[in-house]
Amino acid sequence: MNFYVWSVIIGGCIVTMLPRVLPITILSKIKLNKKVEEFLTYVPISILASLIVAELFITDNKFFIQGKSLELLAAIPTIIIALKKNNLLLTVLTGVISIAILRLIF
Amino acid sequence: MELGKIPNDSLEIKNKNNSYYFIKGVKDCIPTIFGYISLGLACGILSKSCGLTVWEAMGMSAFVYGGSSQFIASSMILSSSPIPSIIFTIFFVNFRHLFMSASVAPYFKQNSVLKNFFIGLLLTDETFVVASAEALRNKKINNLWITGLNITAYINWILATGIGVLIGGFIPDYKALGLDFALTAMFIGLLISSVKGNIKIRKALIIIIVSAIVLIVSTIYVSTSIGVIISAVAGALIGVVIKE
Repeated sequence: MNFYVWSVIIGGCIVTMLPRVLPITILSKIKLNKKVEEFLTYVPISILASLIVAELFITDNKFFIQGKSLELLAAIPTIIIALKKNNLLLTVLTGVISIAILRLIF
Repeated sequence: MELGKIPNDSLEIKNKNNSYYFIKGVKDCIPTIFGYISLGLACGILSKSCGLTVWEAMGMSAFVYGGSSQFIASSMILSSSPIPSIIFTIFFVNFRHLFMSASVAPYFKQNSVLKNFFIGLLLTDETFVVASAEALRNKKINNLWITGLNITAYINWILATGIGVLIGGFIPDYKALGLDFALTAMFIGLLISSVKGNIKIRKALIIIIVSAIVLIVSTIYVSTSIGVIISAVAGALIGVVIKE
């Protein structure tokens, strides 16, 4: 039993639990302002947009305008399938297969 | 039924019992599995190279349960950083969950505090985006559905980490299989499905562009994990400010 590692794990458990649990337990009990509720409905879209940009253009905390070129290419068929079919699994498989083929070629 | 596709037939859903919702939650988790396997393996391999045992790596996955924060924590453990600074870093990297938890809160008003505690406890980027896409589509989230989703994701993550530690040395190159792109592909699919039919395209585009620009600018000054929080708040605020 490594005291150092387990202290990090238990401490990490507590600090990751708080932001996960506090809003859902507290905000679901109080009546929210209309504007706040509207703000919260846009959070998934803005978070997803940020996460995608982070995955495609940011390496080691630095932004690269040219992005990760193979990943950007693979994003194209992924986006097309996502727009045409309402099937998340198919979208994920398209992305994975596209990048695998691109990496095989380049 | 096609996997990953939610049927819109509400009459059909009304007649379903509890296990139907739970199993549907498990099924709706399937698209996330590829991302979890890839990240979990990477996490396991990295944990091992940072000197963690299989139990420590799986323990961290079970208790901290956050991809990027575990990556950073493992490398800080390797460099023997002080415990408080590692915990502080984990807190910051995972702080975006505050907004995700707040965003789904209105859908769980009828629940007891204890129930919501357990739903929030297993919230991750992946389960949050799957759940909010479901919420936008159906205007509600079923408790058993999200429990099925959460538990499947949780077990996947812990198992993938454990396997990563055990077989890490033997895997030639999991990147060649393209598994690391699964997460990005899923985010793309979920972004498009949350926009489609729920919000005006023009408004959605403005939110997306503002979030992207704010993130890019913020990387000059802060780390990506803090940049994601700032840009997500900015994007959602713009959505409130602009007219339809």
